[in-house]
Amino acid sequence: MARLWPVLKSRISYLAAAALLLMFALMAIFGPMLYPHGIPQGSQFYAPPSWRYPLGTDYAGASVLAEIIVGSRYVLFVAALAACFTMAIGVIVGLASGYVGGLTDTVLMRVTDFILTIPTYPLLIVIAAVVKISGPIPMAILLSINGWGGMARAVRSMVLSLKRRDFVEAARSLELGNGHIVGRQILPLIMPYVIMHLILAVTSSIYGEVGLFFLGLVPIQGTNWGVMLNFAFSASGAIYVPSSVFYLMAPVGAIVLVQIGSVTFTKALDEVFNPQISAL
Amino acid sequence: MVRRLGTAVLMIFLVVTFTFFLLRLMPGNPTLIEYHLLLKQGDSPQAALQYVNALYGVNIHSPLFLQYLSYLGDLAHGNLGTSVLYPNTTVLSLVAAALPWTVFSVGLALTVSAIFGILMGTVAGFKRNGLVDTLLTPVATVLSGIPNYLTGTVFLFVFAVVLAWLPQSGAYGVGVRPGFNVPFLGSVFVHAALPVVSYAVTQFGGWYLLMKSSTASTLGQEFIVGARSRGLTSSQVIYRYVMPNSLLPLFTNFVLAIGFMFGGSVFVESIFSYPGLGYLLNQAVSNRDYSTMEGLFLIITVAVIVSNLAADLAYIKLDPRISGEDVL
Repeated sequence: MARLWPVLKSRISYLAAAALLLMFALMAIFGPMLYPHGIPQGSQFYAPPSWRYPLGTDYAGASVLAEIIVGSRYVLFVAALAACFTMAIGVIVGLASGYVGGLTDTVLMRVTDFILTIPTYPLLIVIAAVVKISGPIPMAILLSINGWGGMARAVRSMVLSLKRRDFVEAARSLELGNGHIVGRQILPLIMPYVIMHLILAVTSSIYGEVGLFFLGLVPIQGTNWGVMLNFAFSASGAIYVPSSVFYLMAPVGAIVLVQIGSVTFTKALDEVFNPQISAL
Repeated sequence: MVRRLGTAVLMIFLVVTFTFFLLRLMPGNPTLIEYHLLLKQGDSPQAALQYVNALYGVNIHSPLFLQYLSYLGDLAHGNLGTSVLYPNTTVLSLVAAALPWTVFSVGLALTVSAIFGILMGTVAGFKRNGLVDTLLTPVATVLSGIPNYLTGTVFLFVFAVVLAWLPQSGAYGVGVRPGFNVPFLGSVFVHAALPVVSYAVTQFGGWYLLMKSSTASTLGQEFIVGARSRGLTSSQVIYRYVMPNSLLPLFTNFVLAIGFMFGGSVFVESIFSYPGLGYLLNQAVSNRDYSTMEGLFLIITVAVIVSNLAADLAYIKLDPRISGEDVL
């Protein structure tokens, strides 16, 4: 952590990315509190931006900025939860597969290959159509259902190479126990990689999540960015009205900003964890 | 080789089994829900059973294992059941009608994005920190991560609604007669333009970044230094030595992308109401047409598995340095 600040300071884009992510996090945590009486309603539909409605109003005259802010909590909370699930499954499967080896390895890797082969979106869509998804936790579980394969493979190959290092051999000859070796010797060396990919996993969870809401495949509760896109296409027909530009582009812009922030911040983390790479 | 083939067949079998049980064992089993709904509406158990049977091709009172066997038997005969959404139409014929549109649009997008990405990526990898590298690398990094439903939404809004240059939906105009004639083909390309560009823009970033890093790593190899020291010009080195070697690792990605774009077509085709596999899947899901949904999911997944297999097998042929044993 102490090395993070100098790296962030070294480039303005890193600082901007960190600020952007921080802003979205704060927005998700405190944003809904800004609107205790619900989303402000104006009388004009698709009003252009003004002081009262900085991003204009939607098809019913509601403030678009307020919808984005209120909607961020569900989107980001579920995506963060899904990313944690994805990473946890990936790390556990990868550790078990690489460290235990043998039959466990074969079975786990076959399952991983199978998961990696099934195309993500059709799988999410079919499951969402059959199982009633309600609430953030089932949604997060659904989103993490086949994202962990790549992580499991990467962790496995790292464990395989770490297992043969001198310090692990030494720990083993001291009979420190498997729990100690995995938890204290191997896991800390994998963590930087996991943290970097955690942020990228959040963005890919956002895509799946917003996509499912977009197609209207999960029950709609309140507003969020995917619901806004869905309404733009179906209920309100905003997509076919040129004056709806701010309503339509607001969720698109929010998602793209999260994406840019995540990619750039991950690059900064990469420099922190692997200083030799940044020299290239 | 035989083992790889066996794995693919096993995977297809697993997917079939998975799809079958997904629809029947999940807490929200649609056949049972439908059955109980009909009973509540006052249908006799006999009529309700018959209706569900006709709708899903499932006899809910027969043991699951027997249902599974008859399902496998039907599949072996190429019978995917009949659609609920379009009565008297087999799922297979629906798929056959939708498949050409997806193959056409996805294939065109893949080709266009790969060609542009590879050309630009080679230039950027060859001239690090040059004009192309400085300008395109940040753009490609962002594009490669953006989901295609966002580019699709933006393109639909800008080019079909606000500017009204291109049609909003469908695969060809209402007035044209399908066949091998100029108005029809023109209409097909005009209607495919926005979906194709929506895929291609998001795919481009990935190709560009891959090719850039692949070119950069090929440049460091000894045979390139050797070619240069023999006094060959830059373009000779690029076309004869760098490109063939840096393209090789991209080949696998290309074949894999074919499979995965089938899956990604759900969003773009739904946005543009483009009558391909993805649109059909969305229609089936929103209209609770489970037999079509099941059949489509199966076909998309099998396409992915087969393209994985093709990628592995072709790679052995393309790169003599890799023996069959390495891949398998």
